[in-house]
Amino acid sequence: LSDVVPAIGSGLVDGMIIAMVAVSFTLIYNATGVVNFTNGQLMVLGGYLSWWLQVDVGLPFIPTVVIAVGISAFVGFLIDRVVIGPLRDSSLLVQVTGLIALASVMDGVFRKVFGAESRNLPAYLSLRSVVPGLNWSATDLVIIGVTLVVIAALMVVLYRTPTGSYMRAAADNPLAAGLVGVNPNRVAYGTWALGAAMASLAGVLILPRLLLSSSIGLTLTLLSFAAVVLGGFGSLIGAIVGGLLIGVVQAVVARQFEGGWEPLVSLVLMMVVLTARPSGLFRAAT
Amino acid sequence: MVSKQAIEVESVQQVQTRGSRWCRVFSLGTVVAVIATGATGCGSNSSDSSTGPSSSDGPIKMAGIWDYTGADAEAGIVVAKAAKAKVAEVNASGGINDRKIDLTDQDDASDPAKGVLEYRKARDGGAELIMGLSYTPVATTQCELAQKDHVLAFSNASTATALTDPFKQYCYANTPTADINAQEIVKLLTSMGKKRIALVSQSDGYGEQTVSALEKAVEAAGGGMEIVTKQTIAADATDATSQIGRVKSSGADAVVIGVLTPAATALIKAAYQQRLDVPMVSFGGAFTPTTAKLVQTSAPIEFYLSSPGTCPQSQYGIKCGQDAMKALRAKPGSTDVPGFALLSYYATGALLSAMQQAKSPAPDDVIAALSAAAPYQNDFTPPIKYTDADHRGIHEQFFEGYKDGKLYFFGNDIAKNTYTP
Repeated sequence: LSDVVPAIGSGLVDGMIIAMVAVSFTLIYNATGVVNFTNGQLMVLGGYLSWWLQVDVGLPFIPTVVIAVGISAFVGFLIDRVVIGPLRDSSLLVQVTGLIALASVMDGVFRKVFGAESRNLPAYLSLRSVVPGLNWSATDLVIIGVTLVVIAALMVVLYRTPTGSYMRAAADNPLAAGLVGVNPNRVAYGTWALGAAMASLAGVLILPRLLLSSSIGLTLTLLSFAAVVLGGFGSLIGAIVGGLLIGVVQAVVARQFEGGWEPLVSLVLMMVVLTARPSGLFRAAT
Repeated sequence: MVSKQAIEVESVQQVQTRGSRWCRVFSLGTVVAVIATGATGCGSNSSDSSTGPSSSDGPIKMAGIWDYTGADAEAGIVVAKAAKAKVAEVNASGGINDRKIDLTDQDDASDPAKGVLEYRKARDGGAELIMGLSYTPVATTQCELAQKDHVLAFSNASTATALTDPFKQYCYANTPTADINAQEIVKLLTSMGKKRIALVSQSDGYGEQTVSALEKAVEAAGGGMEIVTKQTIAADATDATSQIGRVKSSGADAVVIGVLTPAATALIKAAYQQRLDVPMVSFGGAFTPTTAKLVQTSAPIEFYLSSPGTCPQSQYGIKCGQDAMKALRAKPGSTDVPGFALLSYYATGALLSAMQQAKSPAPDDVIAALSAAAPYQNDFTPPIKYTDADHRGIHEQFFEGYKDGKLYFFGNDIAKNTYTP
């Protein structure tokens, strides 16, 4: 058991980040009906902006986070305005195809602008373990803390504020919401900006633990997609649980078996759960 | 006015629509996942050669097939940049016997299948000399094809033992191969007094050759050294918690890693996080600025990196390791990764210099010229010399050592540190 505990600790940290991105995924899906296949690229965008601001511009970490997340939110707004807006009345297939194309374009832009080589984002706090057993470092504790705060704040906004009511109304029934004064386009812009900001924040937080490269975006997108499907499409709680489950199971499998099996975990887990519960672990609820 | 009932009906319809939409989304997502997984590493940055086969007076056609993307991109990019810089230099000074070199610029994505595709493209374009062959799985595949086709395959920076052992008439290597790496690693560990070695290797062709090379080197060295645990890690792993956990449990007093940069990063970070306080020694695949910077900043573990700069020291009368790197940094156009870049630059120089003496750029004539050429002198490696029976240009290996976030060591014997800050 003592061998598995550090794996669980590591998996929980990864799971937190997957959960945050999965929540962003779900938020956009619920509000606009669009499946955001650029989530991983938005994380990578956060990472590259963080690199540029810290290493090239020389800013400290906190202003870097604020600026990187702000720029990413604007990019999210632009995605909805420029890519999704014109496709609003098109089929889901067309929208998803548009986003996959955009993800590919973003990969290419990252490679051209920042180069194909991997980079180590500067650690904002020590990577040395400070929690015995679970082996959490100060960086890990920040990741866990910020993720919990962001998700809690999102819940409050969604369920305790007029803005959240507008978002949920637009998600439930755009036509009726429009009739009572909610502008679905503005809700969509706001949701995309918020979702992109969350994905970017996740990237800024987790990438110092990993390795920043344009190619990691696809992996991150697939992980968050798997978490959403596992938890139940459209369910915020499901997205959180799905993310944590994938993170932990992946880490434990890696601990128990030789390397190389981890990438299969999310897909196998998704298939097993969907065989037993085709709608995922949780029912969709906005 | 819309009644509440109407809104509820609408909502039910919306949920139903979302149900079928969900199914489509899942199906679509699964297809995307499968396509994306299958397509990994298939991105192309290649530029086709649009001209026909080499003629006796036109440009000499050479194919440059590089790891611009994928697991080896870190080193592949600088290897390509440096080789192209050398070719441009030679072209600017008149080319090879008044014939310019027409070098293609292709990306194999560190993927053997893509490597074969790009090799075929190069052949269709008339190239009989290919450069690049950096990432072991790609390099060995392309070498096999070249051997069958009687095409000269010149590896600027692969450590693949299989390129030259057993001997292959049409394949050349320049980086100290994995077997040389392993012998020098064992020498370094012996000088440290280490006996219980943990080995973490990448789960692909590159990693497998490091395992086999280290096993042989440990056995040959004797002296009670043993490999107490062997772990594998995916080439693109982002987390190595479990591997380092097992290494800790094994009671090893040193760790050897046979991986490229992405997995090396994960291992170094995990070793630092889990306070694995034993030295880590790396085969040449992880020699990149990313790795070197990491052990000088966020994860300052005790780390020894096989350097492609083999530090010939006083026996060849030139500067050693880091000093040579600093002095020569600007030459290949790289400010960041002098090691592989310099090696690629000078290896290309050795090839082109021999081609000046060849009867023709046909592979067999170039091979004869390479064997006959005088050792290629340069400021970074020992003189590069090939013979009829040995197509490895370099036979030595040294290490850069980092401790407490600082470069402090250069050599292959801990008691004989040749580093001068």
